[in-house]
Amino acid sequence: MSQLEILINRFLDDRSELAPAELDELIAGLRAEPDRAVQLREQLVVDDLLAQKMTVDRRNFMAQVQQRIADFERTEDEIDNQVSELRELATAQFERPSRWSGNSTWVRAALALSLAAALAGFFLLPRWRTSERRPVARVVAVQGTVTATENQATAALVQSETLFSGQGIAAPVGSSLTIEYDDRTQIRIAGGSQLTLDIEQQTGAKRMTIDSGEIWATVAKQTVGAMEFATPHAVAVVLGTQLHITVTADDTLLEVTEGQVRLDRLAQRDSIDVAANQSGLASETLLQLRPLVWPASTEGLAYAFDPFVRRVPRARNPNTRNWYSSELDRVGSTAVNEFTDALELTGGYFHSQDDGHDIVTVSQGSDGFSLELVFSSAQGDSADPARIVGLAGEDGKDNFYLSQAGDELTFVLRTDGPPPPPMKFQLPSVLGPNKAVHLAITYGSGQITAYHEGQALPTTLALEGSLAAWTSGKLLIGADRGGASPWRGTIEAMAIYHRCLGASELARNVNNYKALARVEP
Amino acid sequence: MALETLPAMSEPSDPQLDYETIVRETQAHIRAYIAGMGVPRHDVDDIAQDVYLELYRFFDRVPAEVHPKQWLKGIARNLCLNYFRRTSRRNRLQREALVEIFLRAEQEGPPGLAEGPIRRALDGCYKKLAPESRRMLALRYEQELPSQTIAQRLNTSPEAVRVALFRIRATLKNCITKNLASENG
Repeated sequence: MSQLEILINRFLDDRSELAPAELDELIAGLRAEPDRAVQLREQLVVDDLLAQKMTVDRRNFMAQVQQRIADFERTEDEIDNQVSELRELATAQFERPSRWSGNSTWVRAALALSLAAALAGFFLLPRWRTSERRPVARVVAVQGTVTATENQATAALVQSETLFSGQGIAAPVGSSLTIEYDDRTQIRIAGGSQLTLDIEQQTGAKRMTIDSGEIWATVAKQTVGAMEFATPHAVAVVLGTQLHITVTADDTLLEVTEGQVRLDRLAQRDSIDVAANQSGLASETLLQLRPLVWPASTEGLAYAFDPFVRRVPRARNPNTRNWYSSELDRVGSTAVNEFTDALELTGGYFHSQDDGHDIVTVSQGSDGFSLELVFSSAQGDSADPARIVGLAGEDGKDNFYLSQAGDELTFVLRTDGPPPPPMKFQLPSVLGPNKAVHLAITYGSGQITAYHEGQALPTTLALEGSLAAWTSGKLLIGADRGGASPWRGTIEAMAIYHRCLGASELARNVNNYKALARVEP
Repeated sequence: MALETLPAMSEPSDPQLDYETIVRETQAHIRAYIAGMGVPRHDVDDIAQDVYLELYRFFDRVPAEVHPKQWLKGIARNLCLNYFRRTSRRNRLQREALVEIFLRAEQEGPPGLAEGPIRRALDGCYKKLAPESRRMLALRYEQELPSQTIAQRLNTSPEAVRVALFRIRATLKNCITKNLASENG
């Protein structure tokens, strides 16, 4: 291989790798051999086409152009407004009646001072001017006591109340707030959140500073400049999309379900574009792009299957804590959908002794529990209790089960505390075939709570104790331990945890599931 | 501002072409054109965005008789020169010399990669590559690994990786040229 070929290859590898003397050598070589220059240029072109196709942050060029234009428009508006203010200042100066002659030294000095003041105003006014109080959004739903603080005065928010720029919002744990802007941009603020609403004074672009907590946003297409969510770690720049932001003391997690959001770390001066079904994590030390997953976290996850990743059910090996795939055994009329891998039950049931054993083994030391289920029921009006899912114990008692009778669901969880009555509840929507619902039931802090589509249902049940009372047995889907009480319907996804999932984590899981379901073929 | 809300270009060579259509249809070529002047890969899209911002600002001033892509190439050329002018003097002179060499190469070389649905052609040609070639491209372009790291993973030398990538790109270039020629012919 010639020296020129080596230099060409190194230049292709990295445009800034060659030392000045080597670059001189390359230039001389290309001038001497024009065919090589043609070849190198073609290599550069194909190199870039491949990067356009394969490199993640180069795939959304159209969105980047759109963002660039929005930034430009915003800057133009800011300059226009500054110039208008400057003109007003100057006009005020000239309109002021004067009894002094224009030739006076005093008048000249005054004009010079005016000019200096005007120039200072041009550069400093936007920064010095205090923020004008402007209506920003209104409250469309509030649960619990959520407060707004302004000028050290705090008041509880009520439905339909108008929110203003500069107001600090505090949503304590267990509460939630949904606000809506004029353009129908809607933000749901989870309990445990602290944030400040604001608006760009010049352009009217929306701003939100999130100190801690979580928000879900459906942002309408923004015409006056990108909406920005600032956290201690980064700024999410949004033109119109659906997203979820979680801010902790250490990092900011941005999850995008629709559109694209730019996540900037201002201190480090770097950024990533987070597209639909991706998430971006920003902290002081890292900025990382990650795909959206369901469940969002595998912490405490004992068993799961879903249509996206775990198409074959997976359980955790209690010895190694590694996951293993485990086909369910079938009895009677059942099927695994060949396209979605959903479990279809039409009189028969699924079961697994090994999975049941391992779920019990990894869960026994815990004092929390969660079950997530995405299912549709074909039970119709049948009032006979039908067993959707359960974990049998070898001592003849069930560790847990969920059953359906008509529109009523029943959940029982066994602990080493006093046995509670079954928890009976109904979902806000009617159960039916082809109407998949996301149901979650959690146990923790002395209470069982059910969630429908990520929203807590009013019915709860007090319960004490841990899962130490569980005994090994079969995992059963669609029937009880005797193969009786058959349930008819479809189970798309299921996750069993040996910890209590929080409301915000469940809401995130619902969002992630829906987002992934939209893109799955 | 949303791209689709922008006005149509006044008296363009093709009156049907609006801003969004122009961006969509030319962006792959313009970005590759910028890269073809020796701009580092990580700066190509920044310059390309500036090119399309200029188009946005002066949309109604593009001469009717000039095809938008030609106009965009002219803007891209100037912005690339501005980009290199910001570097140190010696480096700037070298980079300007390289731009001159590449521009001449574009004029004197075959027009193979200049026209047509180039990304579609690339997609088709990529599928025809051998699995090991695709793997190497994934390491370079998806994972953005330097040749040194790729070499370690594949148990070979960095120079061998560079040569292999050069050959794969040459194969792709020939395939794209052939496909575009048959589509245009």
